[in-house]
Amino acid sequence: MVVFKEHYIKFILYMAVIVLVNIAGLNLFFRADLTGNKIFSLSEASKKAAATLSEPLSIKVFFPKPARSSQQHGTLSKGFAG
Amino acid sequence: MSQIKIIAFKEFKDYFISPIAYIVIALFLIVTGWFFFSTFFIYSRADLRDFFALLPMVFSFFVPAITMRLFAEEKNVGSYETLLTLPVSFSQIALGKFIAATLFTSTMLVPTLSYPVFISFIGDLDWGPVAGGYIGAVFLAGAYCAMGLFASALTRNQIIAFIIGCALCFTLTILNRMLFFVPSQIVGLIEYIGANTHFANFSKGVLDTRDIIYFLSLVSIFLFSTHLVMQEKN
Repeated sequence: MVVFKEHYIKFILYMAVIVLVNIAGLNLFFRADLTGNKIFSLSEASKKAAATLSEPLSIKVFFPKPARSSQQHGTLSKGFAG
Repeated sequence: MSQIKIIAFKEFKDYFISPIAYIVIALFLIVTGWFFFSTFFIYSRADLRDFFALLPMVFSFFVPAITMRLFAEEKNVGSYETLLTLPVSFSQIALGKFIAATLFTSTMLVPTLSYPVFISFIGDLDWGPVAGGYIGAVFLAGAYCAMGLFASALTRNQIIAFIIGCALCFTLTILNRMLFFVPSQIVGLIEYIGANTHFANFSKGVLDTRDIIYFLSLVSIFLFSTHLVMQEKN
């Protein structure tokens, strides 16, 4: 019984460490875009342009085919937010 | 270190001695090949995105079938006791078996490398997402192998090990499609726990440390659980 309890505590501690590492990783991350045209990254020019904005910007996007392009749009808008 | 290598090599070799390996690899290639190429020409896009979209689902059935025998069979046959009398620790056994299963699943993916080669003949293929997808597939295979190994350590019956492993892998696979049913406050958390979003990033060609950390955490959680189960059952 004592051994069982010890395992239990060990497991909980281990889980806590893993969760903390994941939370830390959420804020401290690095990404590499392997696509040929860097289609999932923002270019330097757009980053500079975004840095000059003083007030919130709303973006209207029109999709010809919903499923695919809205996915890419999601990735890029997350890039702007980050 | 050398013990882990010996166990991993022994388990890996065992797959190819029995007919299991050839049956599993053949079935895997038939299933993925059929599902991928049956819609490939309709979309008329030269990429492997649909192949990688298929992988989490296919892996959640094939990987438990690969890992189910690792502990369950040894316990059933009785060679597990012999293994424990040898000068190896629990963690070395678990790690060795895990490496063997991951290596075998990666071997299963090698014949599918012919798909991008064929596709590059008929269209302009971007190799970045292909490389990312295969790196992600190895991480995904590792995570699912760790879960399957844990399921196998729980029981001496291979069928039960297979079903528990399937249930674990399948839950992580479809979690992202169940977001509709969860309250809005925890959508982000549930989305993070699901394996699909992380793997989708890899198959888009984006290597992100967050996704790598996620898969490594899954591996370490389930290997640690396997280790605990082994201690508990002893």
